[in-house]
Amino acid sequence: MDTEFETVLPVYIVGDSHSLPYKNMVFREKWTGAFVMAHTKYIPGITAKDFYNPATGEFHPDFIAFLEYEGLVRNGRATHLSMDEVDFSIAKAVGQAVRPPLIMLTIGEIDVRGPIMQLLKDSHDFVPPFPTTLPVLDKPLVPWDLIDEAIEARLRPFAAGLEHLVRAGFKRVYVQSIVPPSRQEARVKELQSYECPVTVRTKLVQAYNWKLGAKVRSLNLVMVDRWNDLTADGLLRPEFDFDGVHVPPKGARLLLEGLIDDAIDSRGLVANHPRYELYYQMACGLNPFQAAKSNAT
Amino acid sequence: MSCPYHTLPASSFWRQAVADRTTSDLDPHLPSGLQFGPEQRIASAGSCFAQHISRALKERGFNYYVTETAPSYVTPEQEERFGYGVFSARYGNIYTTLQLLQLMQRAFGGFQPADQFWTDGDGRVFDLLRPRITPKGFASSFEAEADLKQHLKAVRQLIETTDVFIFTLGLTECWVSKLDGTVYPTCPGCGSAGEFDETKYAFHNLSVTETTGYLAEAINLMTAANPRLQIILTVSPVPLAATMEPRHVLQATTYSKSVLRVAAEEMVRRYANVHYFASYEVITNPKNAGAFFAEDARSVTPEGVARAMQLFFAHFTGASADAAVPSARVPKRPAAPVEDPKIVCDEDEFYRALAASRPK
Repeated sequence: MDTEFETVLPVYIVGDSHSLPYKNMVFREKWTGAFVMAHTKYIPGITAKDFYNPATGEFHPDFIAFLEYEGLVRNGRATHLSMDEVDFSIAKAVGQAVRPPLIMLTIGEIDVRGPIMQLLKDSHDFVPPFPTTLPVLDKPLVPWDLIDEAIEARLRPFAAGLEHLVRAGFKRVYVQSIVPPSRQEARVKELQSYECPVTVRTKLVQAYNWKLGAKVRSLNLVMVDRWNDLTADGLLRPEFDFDGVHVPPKGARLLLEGLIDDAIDSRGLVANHPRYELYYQMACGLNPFQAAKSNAT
Repeated sequence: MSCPYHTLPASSFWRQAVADRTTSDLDPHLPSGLQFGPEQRIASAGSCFAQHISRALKERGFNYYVTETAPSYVTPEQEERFGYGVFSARYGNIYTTLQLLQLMQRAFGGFQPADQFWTDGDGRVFDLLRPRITPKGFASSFEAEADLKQHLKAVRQLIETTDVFIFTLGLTECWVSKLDGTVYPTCPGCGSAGEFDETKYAFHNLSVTETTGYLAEAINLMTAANPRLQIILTVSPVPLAATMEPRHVLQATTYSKSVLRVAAEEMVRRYANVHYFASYEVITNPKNAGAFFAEDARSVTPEGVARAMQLFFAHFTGASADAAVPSARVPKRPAAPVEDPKIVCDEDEFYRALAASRPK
């Protein structure tokens, strides 16, 4: 008996180790029942600062290698926009989406946990410019403007990279918000070699996400954020603390469902008209790559 | 009985102590009763000129005591821009004795200004008592108030635990709140944060009685918090940038510096733990004929600063006063005022803003 293969909705998830919980993840999304499959790429140590170099216009080589491997980029161009016969044939053969691919970046947590958090360590706290339920500790304060400058220095190249992606036709790029940090103080000290109270770390992640979200929105992209589901009393719920750094697969699943919800809601906004036209011509029995006959006889 | 003047040292006689001296070896100081070394904690506050002392202490490896420290991982440029390490805490310039007293009263719980914060059109909040401590203001009132709480805690810690506190007296002219007498470092709305409103702010020129009384009160508060505290007073030699008195700025400067010098003298006579360093005399003595001032006759030249610091360390630390420094070669006045970008001076900012705002 022939097996009928169902179509699968691929989501390309690439970034630091926060891409790992998505590895081999397949599930049926709740709206259409279609399978969602995560294609992941872990780029060790990638940060927001080195994701893209605005001076040269170059992305991290591993990121480009991943897009090429997945067939999303060929010869330096987005294949879903390409009208090249080879690209089109490949796309048709593998059932590649007519729309821009769903890509999610998991980048930035190393920036927060590394250079930005060093401003605070165990010695300082700060007051963010947005409402938060987390307290201000009785410690010297780092001016928000200094925190802002530190975040901005890491985010600016990343945002420039996102803008480049959008210009190249990748209009369905999602950015995973930084997940709430662990409550395990001892684990953090083990990782960082210094202490930093959980409320300060959590506020810092909120601050990073606050700025990240604004930048992402300004590019008409979406930051995937399930903060309220992952936290209780403003801090990470213990059941979503996998190893002191990452969320477990069930946390990743929550985030990915958030992405799918948005992607389904906004399908109409990302139509790829040239490619639809090619498919239409083929459906009509025409060869879209055949040179048009001249009317002049 | 012989004339008592015969027993006096050479330093008491103008001809030997001044007229016969070259500029480079004129030292208007007697040996100090206070000596400190690298192990003592030295704190400072005061006018723009006071920043030379804090810098010199750091450069020479003394224990310049800072209780409101910059977070790690910021650049030196950021430290300076956000007022870290300019003084021992982030209080900015303290020009008048009333300002010093009110800082101590705020730190030790006796005074809470009624009009301290001002919000600009972008919603940024400025602390009018240290208007340049955050270049763009605080992001919210909550941040400004939380930061102030930590600042005053750092000031308390500073006074309670430092060994030496150096205060440079700068001005007698000031602007006060009509609500409760809060004194501001500069006129609100003139070149820095705030908006001038004559119903809220009034000009006041402190008398010698006020200047002396406020300084004594501040010293009493500091000494009560730290009985082993030693205090060094100096008077800034920098003339007034502008006066609000209806008289010539030169007269106003003479008045101001005279009052400050008297106040310092009064404190030295009154308190055993108060000492005087003659930076004013080092820079302004007639033998120099203004050589330590730049062409604007106001900015102190690097050579003047170096000479003052050389004598400061010679008298308070035992460092050799003969060490070769640029002051040994006092030059002609430089062609242009020497700007030192590292000196944070509200008064200069005020003057620049005033000049820029004048109709052409």
